[in-house]
Amino acid sequence: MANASRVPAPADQDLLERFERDALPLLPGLYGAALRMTRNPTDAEDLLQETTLRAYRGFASFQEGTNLKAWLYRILTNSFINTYRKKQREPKTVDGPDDIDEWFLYDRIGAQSVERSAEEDVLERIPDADVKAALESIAENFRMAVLLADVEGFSYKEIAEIMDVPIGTVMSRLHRGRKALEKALYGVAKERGLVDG
Amino acid sequence: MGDTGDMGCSETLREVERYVDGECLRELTVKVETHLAGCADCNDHAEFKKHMKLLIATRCRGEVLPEGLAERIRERIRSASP
Repeated sequence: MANASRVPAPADQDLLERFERDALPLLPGLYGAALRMTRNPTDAEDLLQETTLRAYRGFASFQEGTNLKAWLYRILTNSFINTYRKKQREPKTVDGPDDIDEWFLYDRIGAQSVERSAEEDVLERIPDADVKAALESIAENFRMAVLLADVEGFSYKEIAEIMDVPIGTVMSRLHRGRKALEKALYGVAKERGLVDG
Repeated sequence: MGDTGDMGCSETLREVERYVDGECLRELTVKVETHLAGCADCNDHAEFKKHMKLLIATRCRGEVLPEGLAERIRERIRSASP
């Protein structure tokens, strides 16, 4: 209301309409990513607000026809790193993913099951909230790589651009992140009595 | 096997993550798939990776925006200059 008197110039109006049409529909996905990054709804909301505002301010220089989704996730990632990470406590990692066997979870629930469905059973019975918590428990750089690849469906090349690292680093973070995630999920399955041990 | 460029188990398992991510070039994809078609053990490993990927994708997706957030963001943008 305070800004009702401000009449945007026609060019601004066009930009605003284009932004609302193209960028705002991506908010739910961005919010999900913000939740996994910040690990709490209040910070996720702030991060999303900041990301959207930054994106809008830079939207005039965004080239239409290029990858808007990747561009927005890059802004989200940068905003998170610059603003929110500082006040976040990193999860304690008891041992790094390098200490985890190459096929950690497969060797425990995949290979041993006589019936193929036994492994699927174990994974299916882990509640959504626990899968999310497992993802949130792994170190930030790994978590973001897994999130961008598996939840958001970005390619290695896109993730490299979003995280501003070489593709080799993306592959290594994904690999190590998934191993850490397998270990976290195994911990959940054990706690819930879904596997022995 | 032999010198036809077939991949062994260890080489296949090394590439399987990239394969499941759909990030292998065509030639490598064909090699991996050829091996998987004839090796139940490696195929089980690949299926397991696919299943894990799907689990993360389906369970961590679909968050709903908090009520009013989309409107608050829209308001902020409308009152900001680009």
